Amino acid sequence: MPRNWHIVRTLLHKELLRHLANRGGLALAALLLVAAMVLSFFGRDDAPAGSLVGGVQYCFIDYWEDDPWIEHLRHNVPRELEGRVRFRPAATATTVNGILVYPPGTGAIQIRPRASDAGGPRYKVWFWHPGKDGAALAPFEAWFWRESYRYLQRTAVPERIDPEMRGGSADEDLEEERSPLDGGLEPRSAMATALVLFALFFGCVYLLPSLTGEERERGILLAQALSPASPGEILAAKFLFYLLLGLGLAALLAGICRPAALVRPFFWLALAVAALGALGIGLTIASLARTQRSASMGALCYTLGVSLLLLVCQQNNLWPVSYLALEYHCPRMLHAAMEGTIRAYHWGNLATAAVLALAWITAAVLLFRRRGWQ
Amino acid sequence: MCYVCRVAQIRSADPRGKAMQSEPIIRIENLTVRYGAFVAVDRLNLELRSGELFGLLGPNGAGKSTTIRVLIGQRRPNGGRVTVAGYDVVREWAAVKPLFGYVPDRENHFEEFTGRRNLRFFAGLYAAPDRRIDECLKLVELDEAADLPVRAYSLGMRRKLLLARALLHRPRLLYLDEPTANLDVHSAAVIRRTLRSLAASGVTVLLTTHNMDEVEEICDRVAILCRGRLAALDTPQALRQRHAERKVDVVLSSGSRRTFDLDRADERALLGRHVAAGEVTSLHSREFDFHETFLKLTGTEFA
Repeated sequence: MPRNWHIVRTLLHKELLRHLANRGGLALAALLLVAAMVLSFFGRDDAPAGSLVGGVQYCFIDYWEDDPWIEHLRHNVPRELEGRVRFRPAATATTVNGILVYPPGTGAIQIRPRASDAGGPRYKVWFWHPGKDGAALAPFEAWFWRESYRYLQRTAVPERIDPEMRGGSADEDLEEERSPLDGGLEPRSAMATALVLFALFFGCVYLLPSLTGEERERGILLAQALSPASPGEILAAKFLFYLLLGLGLAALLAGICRPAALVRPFFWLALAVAALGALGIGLTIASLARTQRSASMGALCYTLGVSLLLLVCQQNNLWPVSYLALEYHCPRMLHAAMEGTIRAYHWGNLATAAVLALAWITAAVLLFRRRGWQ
Repeated sequence: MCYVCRVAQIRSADPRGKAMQSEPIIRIENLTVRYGAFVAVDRLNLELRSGELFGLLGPNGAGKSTTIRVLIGQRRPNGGRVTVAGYDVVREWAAVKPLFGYVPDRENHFEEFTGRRNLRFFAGLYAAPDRRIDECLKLVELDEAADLPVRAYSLGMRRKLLLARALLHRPRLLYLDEPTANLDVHSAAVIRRTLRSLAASGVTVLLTTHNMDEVEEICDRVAILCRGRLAALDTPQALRQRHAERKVDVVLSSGSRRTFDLDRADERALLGRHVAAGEVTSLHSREFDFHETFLKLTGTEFA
């Protein structure tokens, strides 16, 4: 830990002055603030939840029993919906804490058998549509009811189902229920979360490596290391400054977009963990890169690399791998914190992110002490 | 406690400090530094005394900069031992760091800051008072340009600012890596004058240079390095005496040119006859030539 606070104070002051002289950085920070204000002041309630791409791209047919009814549906998917209907046993579906999870831009029709000794309908058909958009599943529903009716007619029990009465009341064999999918990305809230995350990454993963790389490349870092400032004090000043910069900018943006978030302790916890993690990543890149250019490229490559990793993991159901990325947990917990939709599993995100952030910081400190100032 | 005071405290509290007046302030013993298979410094032995202005000469790759890197703690030696004021530069780095100032071969300022702001930042690290900034600026004749951004400085001004920065904490030792390279005559003269006055005040100055005239003009002693080894070590005057050629170049009235070796009796007599006969149009004695001496000692052209 630093012993000479006047040294840390001088180093902090230097960082501040360098950023005040960096007009490009100031302009980008100002743009972020303007974007947050635009997002906050205009069209507050007219944006529907869902994916950032409108409508439902895929509809999952999740079933608990693979009976002839499912087989009939599987063989009678119309051409216009081919490739957009995905049948799967519910047992193989992705779950988080026992809850079925659907990717953004999808809906689901769950066909759940009911206990035969309980009386009443034999099946529960549960429609899950993204956000508030109840009509998003309309083409899938029309096909589902048409083919189900055809199947039931063929099996000589046509009286059990009446396609004219699909308004919500259940008949004797089928109970119908509709629910919105929680956690769907409402574009405005997604953008607000993205702005906050971008502010953290801008400060900690881009600016920190870039300016540190510049100092090393030009020999200024060495000049500081030859002064009374120890590597520990240089490191402490960078940590403090970029932590405060990232946190301050992110909190300001969050305050403009979602003022209520600022009074939620979970928001501050999530923000602090995300900022520490970003700082660890940034300092690791800064310690490895020898020049400003390689630092900037390193930051860019890291961001794109992680995005690609998360995409591949999502497409191939490799969830355990994506749990190792801070970028998997941070958007989820920050989004929940900003929207006030915190669930138990978000605390899991927070805990995992904290462990990952600690790992990144440890790596960064070891690397910086070993070669960061040279 | 300010840094300058701390340095003074370290000196006074250390029993080794008593012996420092008589002992060399820098002692390099069998220093060896390798970069992979390449031996940059090969069993180098040197001693520098307090208040000495010492020049380190050598072609590119001779090991001059590597030696300075070891002295400033940027490079660990592969063999041998280096002590500064009795402290081992590897094991007692924290005690060595306050003792020296370093002027690198390439300028490393915050371009966006003014000269004064640059010095203020480093003065803040050293806990040096503001008046010391003004003193250093004045010493290198940068006081009038102190409030201009460094990006507007000429190369000479940048070099002088480096020197001012290295002097902020009143170091006992000053290491300079080619301090006057590519400078205009006036800036180089300012730096040389400053170095001379620092040495006169007791600061030990170690500089690497390619400038022979500079070595002759300001250095008390000079070491010539070649392929990491010490090729010569003496005062510039002693080197002059030892290596000056006793020859004269003569142009005769017939138009022919001849060189007479004054160490040979027959050539001295022949030259006398030419002079007596009035056949000599011009006559030049050969001055001491550092380049020739360097070539003779190292077998290498001066880069």
